Amino acid sequence: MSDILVVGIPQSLKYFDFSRAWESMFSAAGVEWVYSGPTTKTVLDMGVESCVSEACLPIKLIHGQVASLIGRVECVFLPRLVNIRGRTVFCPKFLGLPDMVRASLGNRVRLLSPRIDLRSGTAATCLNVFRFARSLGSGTLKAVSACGKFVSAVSFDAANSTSSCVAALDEAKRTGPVIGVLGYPYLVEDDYVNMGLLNKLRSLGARVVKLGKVGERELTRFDREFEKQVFWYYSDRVVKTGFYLCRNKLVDGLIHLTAFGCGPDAIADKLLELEAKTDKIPYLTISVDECTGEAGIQTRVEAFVDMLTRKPVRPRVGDAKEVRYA
Amino acid sequence: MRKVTFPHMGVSVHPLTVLLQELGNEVIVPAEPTAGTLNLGTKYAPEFACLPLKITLGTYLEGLKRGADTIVTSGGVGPCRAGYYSSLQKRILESLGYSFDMIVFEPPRSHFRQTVTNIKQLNAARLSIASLGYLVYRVWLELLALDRLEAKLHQVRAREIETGEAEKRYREGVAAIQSATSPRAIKEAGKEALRFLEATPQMDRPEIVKVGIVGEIYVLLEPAANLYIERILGELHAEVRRSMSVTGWTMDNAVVEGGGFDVKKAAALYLPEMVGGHGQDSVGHTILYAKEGVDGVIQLAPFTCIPEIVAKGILPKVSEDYGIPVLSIFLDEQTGQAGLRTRLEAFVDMLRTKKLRKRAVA
Repeated sequence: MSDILVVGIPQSLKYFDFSRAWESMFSAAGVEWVYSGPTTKTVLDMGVESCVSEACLPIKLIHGQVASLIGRVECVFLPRLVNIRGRTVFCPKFLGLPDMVRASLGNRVRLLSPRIDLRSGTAATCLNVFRFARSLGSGTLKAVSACGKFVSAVSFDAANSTSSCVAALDEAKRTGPVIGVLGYPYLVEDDYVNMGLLNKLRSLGARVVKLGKVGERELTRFDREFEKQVFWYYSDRVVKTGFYLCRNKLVDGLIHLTAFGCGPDAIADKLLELEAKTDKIPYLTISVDECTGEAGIQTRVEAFVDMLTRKPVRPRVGDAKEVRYA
Repeated sequence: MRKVTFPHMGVSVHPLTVLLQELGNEVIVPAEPTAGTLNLGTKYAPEFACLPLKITLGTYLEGLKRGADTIVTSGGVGPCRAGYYSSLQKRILESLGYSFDMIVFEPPRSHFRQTVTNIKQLNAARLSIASLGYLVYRVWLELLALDRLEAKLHQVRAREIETGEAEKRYREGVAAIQSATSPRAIKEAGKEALRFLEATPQMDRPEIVKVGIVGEIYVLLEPAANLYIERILGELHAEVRRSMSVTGWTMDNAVVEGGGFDVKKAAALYLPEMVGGHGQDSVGHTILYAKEGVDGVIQLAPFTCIPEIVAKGILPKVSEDYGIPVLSIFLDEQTGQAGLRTRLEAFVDMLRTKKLRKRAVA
């Protein structure tokens, strides 16, 4: 093995939330890394070739990104994320992702997939990261610093959104409708996958509210709402954020961006739909897959925004008598 | 008196009916799911929900229309979606204007108090703990007998001379087991039914292949959900081994919780992580079947089933390493029996050719 190991990081799924944690970990461990680069048609096509047909778009995409790294790096970093917050876990496809990728591309590239499960305690996670850093060839000191950096980055990222959405929205001088775009970061933040949905909305004069705009404290209050917490980390946040926005009439309309065939979203989507109906918030589900055409999305988004513009204006935020919780 | 209904799942319907009736409830016995049930469920369920959610939602709707006021079902703790069915279905049914109680049985060891409360709610006859134990024992025996008889049917059907004879005898046996009331009578009826089924006129066909079925529990155990795949395979002279049964599952999940260690061990090299549902089991059972000399494996799963998609991604590698053919079939409300039959015929033909060729070489 050469002195300087270069690790490839696929730029999808967990990248949007955890890139900072990965970067600080690798730089502390003294390991170089490269990103696979943003999504392109070629990358997606590579993924479709190497992945099971039933999988959802993001899973196909990450297969493609791993494939695109083959030849450029010696090994690819694809951690097995199990839990980072509370009792929620990640979608089963995340849990089994390293195994799926190993089964289809394993003979062509080495995968590094440490298991990250904060339920087993910070100490156990530190130990995991420490072993992982050691296995990459960094010295003990560097490895210790790597786990410190990693754990603090992950727990900070999970807790950093405390700014109140209400205030943020209130000061905005409304010109167009306010639309909540809810969906997992790997769909909402990836402009190729969602065909520039956010820019389309903005160019139609709408203001966009995304995941992370509602504070952690507001979200946890919705725990009582459900007889059972939604199991999956991202879905849990999406559902609670949606409930918060609807209950408090903070948005004129809600768009749920989902991947075709997404398992957790079948549940999350219905929960949001029922809630939006109760609160009389117009609701649109946009599902994307590798065959989605841009024109179709454009038409649906335009129609949705038009409808919201013509609809009588919702009561302003300030008019809401009280903030309702469960 | 409560009017109770529950999901229809294979052979478990009659034993559960007995259980709930003896506890002092009126039971709205769920009808075997039909295309109508599925349509009803599909109408109100999320589009990308898996088949079991749609079928059970349809079953509940039928039950509620017939006057049920209580739904008894199982829960789960994720990460498979099935664990969230009860909560979501409750919301959906309530949004349609039904009012009812939903009694959800979570894994008893981690939710002990809830389980006790549930039993109290259903125990309208105020049975003592001893009589409860006796009742459960009796129902368990019936389940065991029915499970065994069904497994035997899958063997015999491949060899029967007259098509349909084995199934006819099976139905008679089921009726006899179901009409027995004391534990001894159930055991006797079970043995007698097995003997009667084995006595079906059979011939030893050289072309018989063994097919293992792995996959998601509901589509495995409910014949209406898998379009009676076992019957089709039997008619194609394939002996079916199924990786799961009602009693086996109950032992692994409700009694031991996290049982099935040998299967998980077998899968560890390919899928060390518990991905929920039966993803790990599908991989593990495929490996075990390969070691036992089963000719081919069929993976059955509902469309969009998350754990089975993970398993499907891994099974080609297992198939390659162990030299066992694997056919993955994803079922949804669009799946037609003719299409399924064609795929099964082709698969069984391939297995047969492979087997006969191997025998000719040896």
